[in-house]
Formats: sequence, structure tokens, C-alpha cells
Amino acid sequence: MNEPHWDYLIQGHLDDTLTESERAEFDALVLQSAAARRRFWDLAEIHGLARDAARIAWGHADPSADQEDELPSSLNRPAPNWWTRFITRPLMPLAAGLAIGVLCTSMVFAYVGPSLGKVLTLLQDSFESGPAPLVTGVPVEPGRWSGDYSEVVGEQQGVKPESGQKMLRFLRADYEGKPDPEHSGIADIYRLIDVRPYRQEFADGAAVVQFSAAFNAFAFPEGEAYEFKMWLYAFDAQTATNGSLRIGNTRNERNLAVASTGRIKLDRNPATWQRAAGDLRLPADTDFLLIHIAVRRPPNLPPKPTFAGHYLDDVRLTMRHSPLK
Amino acid sequence: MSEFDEHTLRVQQLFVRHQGELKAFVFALWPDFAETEDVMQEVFLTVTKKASTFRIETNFIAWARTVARYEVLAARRKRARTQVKTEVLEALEASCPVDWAADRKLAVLARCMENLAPKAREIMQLRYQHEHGPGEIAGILGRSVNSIGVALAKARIALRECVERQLKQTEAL
Repeated sequence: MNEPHWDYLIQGHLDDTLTESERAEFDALVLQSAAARRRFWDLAEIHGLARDAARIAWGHADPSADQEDELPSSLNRPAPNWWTRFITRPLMPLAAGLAIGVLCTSMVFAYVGPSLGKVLTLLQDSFESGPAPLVTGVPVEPGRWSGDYSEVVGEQQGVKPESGQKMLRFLRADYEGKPDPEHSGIADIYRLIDVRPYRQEFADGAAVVQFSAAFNAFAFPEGEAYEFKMWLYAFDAQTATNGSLRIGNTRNERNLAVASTGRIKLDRNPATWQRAAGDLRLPADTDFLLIHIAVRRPPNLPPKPTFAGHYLDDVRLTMRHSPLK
Repeated sequence: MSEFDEHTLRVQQLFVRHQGELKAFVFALWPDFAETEDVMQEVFLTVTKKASTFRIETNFIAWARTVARYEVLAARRKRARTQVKTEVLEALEASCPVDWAADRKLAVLARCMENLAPKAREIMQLRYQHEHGPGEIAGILGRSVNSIGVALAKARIALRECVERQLKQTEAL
């Protein structure tokens, strides 16, 4: 009962390559034919499972970085250790871990609601001073930016720093000695922050870290597109500093908590800075925070290994006491 | 922690148990890697918010698929991308088989992927391991987008047949 044209339309849907008229045809087919709907689920099952299966079969695409747009490991099936640990925990801590430690995006805090109180600044960096960013991938020491090739610059290409006289410019999607750089299309920068000195502020599990950064780009050609995203991870000291975060999917598998901003699609106006922000409820056993900021072309465009004028400025992390209600 | 009652916690536990199937479901309705992750976060939040309306003895995956379908629709509208018809998503959700994308199929699919012919493996790696779209793959391999679409379709059908074959063999044992 399968027709080649059905398969063409269904496969086109799965690869997001249908034209407008083909989309209309696909819609009509789905609405009119029970057999076509069965065929859809037959073909879509492989597609739906393929990413997780690919990671089981071949591992993560980029063993060192670029793990963008991922949910934490608890929501990825190829993370059996985490999964086992998760489902064998008692019910109450389990769901608390899920709701607080795993998916604590800013959306979650819309339910919880902020409370006012003492605000502690963990980081406020406009790249005005301090050492140049390292180009050695994920850092293993706190206090310095590190990641793919980048540089600190002043005003250029019509882009003025959002704050002060300097800003960070992303240059490339690879770092010194990166394996398999030809498949990289994402420029990443990271910074570790040691929060152990502030432990008394969050030892009760009632602290929230708010993170934000400003993004801008040169007037890139029409038809081009770029997006930024920012993550904040919580780690224990050993995981954060033993180099394991440079390997495989460790960042997702070994975090104590993670939160991310939405993807910020950059406008083509160098005069405007766009800001991304998010919240992370800090687990009481956190030793280090890892900021991860990335820029890339969206997935529907071929990746480029270099970036002609993409900027980051005014990165802020603050912590405040905000007990759950 | 006090805002979560025990029922909500149980519903969240069910979400965790079925998150792989739900993610595959979302990815089938909206084949965009990044959007799928964002939608899954919204699904979790909605499942949590509406947990009190779910009866624990009923079918969680069916309930959660409905939540996921609404979230896909909402996200697509918000992103102002290609508009999708509500009734199309409804029809698809209603026809989704009960054990669709079940865990046991994942391991079988992974084994089948390992045994793909080199060219099919390369294209599947670029699509699902490196998460490139057909346009990107065409650029990387220097081929037309159409030919990539055809190759992906063939590889998925071959994998489908392989999975079915292996599941039948397992059941026969």
C-alpha cells in the first residue's frame, strides 16, 4: 500500500526539505489516508530514534566541544550511568533533581518566583582587562576565558562595545589541536568560576545564579544567519578540573545542574546588542560553574569554520538567595 | 521542594522513563534538532504544571504525546516558521502506534547503524551524529541536496528493514 510519492513526501518532511506546495500535498495526504499515516510512523520511527542510536553506535559527534543545543544527559538515552543513578534514587530527591537540577531553565523559575535579597556578583566581564582568552578548548582552571580561537578587540566593523572600550570577537570554530576540525561550525568560549568561597550562600540549596551576556555582529549579508546560545553548568571540583570536560559528552553526563538561554538569532544591525539571560538553581554540592557561550550558523545552512564579525560583551553572573516556595 | 506533591513527582518520574519516546515523537513532528530540545523542555514544564490532571493508572505516553503535540504547535507558531496545521498534527498523534520508538528498538537500530555500508554510514553520521541538515551535508560532500535526500531516504528504509528483521529474529528465539 506504500507509494513512492508518499515516501518522497514523508522523507521530505523528515528532512525539512518540502516546498510549500509539497507541504500542502503532505498535509492533505496525512489527513486523508490512514495508510499514509501508518507509513509516516514507520519511516519516522527510524528518524526519531536515529540521533540517540547514532550516539550509541558511533559516539558523540564532537568529542571536545560543540555540544550545543542539548538537554542534560538525563534526557538523552545514551547516558546509561546517569540514567541508572537517576532512576534508582528515592522518589522525592529524584524529582527534585529533575525539576531543580536538570531542567532549571528560566521557565521553571517562572513558577517558583524570585525573592529579593542579597545579590552577589560572581562575574562581570566586559573584556576591559585581564589576560587574553586561551585557545585550548574547555578550561581546567578558573578565572580565564578559553575555547576556540577568539580575540579581545575594540570598536570595529560598525560594532561598538556594549560596555567599556573592548569586547570579545569569535574568530573560528576550532581551537589549538582540535581533532576533526573540518566538521566544526560552532565557535565556543568557556569560563570556569570557583564558587567554593561562597558556599555558605548556597549550602541550603536556595541560591539562584542569574547569567546573561550581550551579543552583536557585523552587518552580515542578507541570506546569512547566525545564532548565539549560552549555558551555565554546575560541577564538582574533580569533574571541573581534571580535564574530563574536554572528553566526549562529559559535560552533559557529569553536571550537577545545567540551564541555558534560548537561541538568540542575531539581527543584521551592528548598532544593536542583543542580550540572553537565564537562571540556574545552584545545587548545594557545587564547586565550580562553567559558562559556555557559542555562536553558529543555524543548522539549515552549511557550517562555516570562521566568523567574520561576531562579538560578545558584558557577561554577568549574579547569585541571590531565593528559597523555593 | 515543597511545591511538588507526591503525585507530581510520580508524573515527572514517568516523564523521565518515557522521555526518549517523547523526544522521538517531537522530532518526527518537527525535524529540527535544536527545536526538539527546546520543545522537550516545554513539554516537561507543562507535564509538571498539569500533573494533577493526569490519572496515574491511565496511559502516560498517550497523555504526554498530546502535551508534546500542543507544544510543537505553540513553538512553531512562536518561531513563525512554516506553519503547520493543527489537524495534521492531531491526525498524526492519533495514529501513532502504542509502542512506537520503544527503547528495545533503539539498541537494535544502533546495531543496524554499525553495519551500514560505508557511504550510507557517512551520510547518516553527518545527519544524525553531526546533526547537519541535507543542505549542509550537500555542501560538505559536494553533492546536490536532492541526491542527499534520496540517500537519506534509502538509508532509513534499509535501517527500518534491518530493525524489523532483527526484532523478528529476537522474537523467534
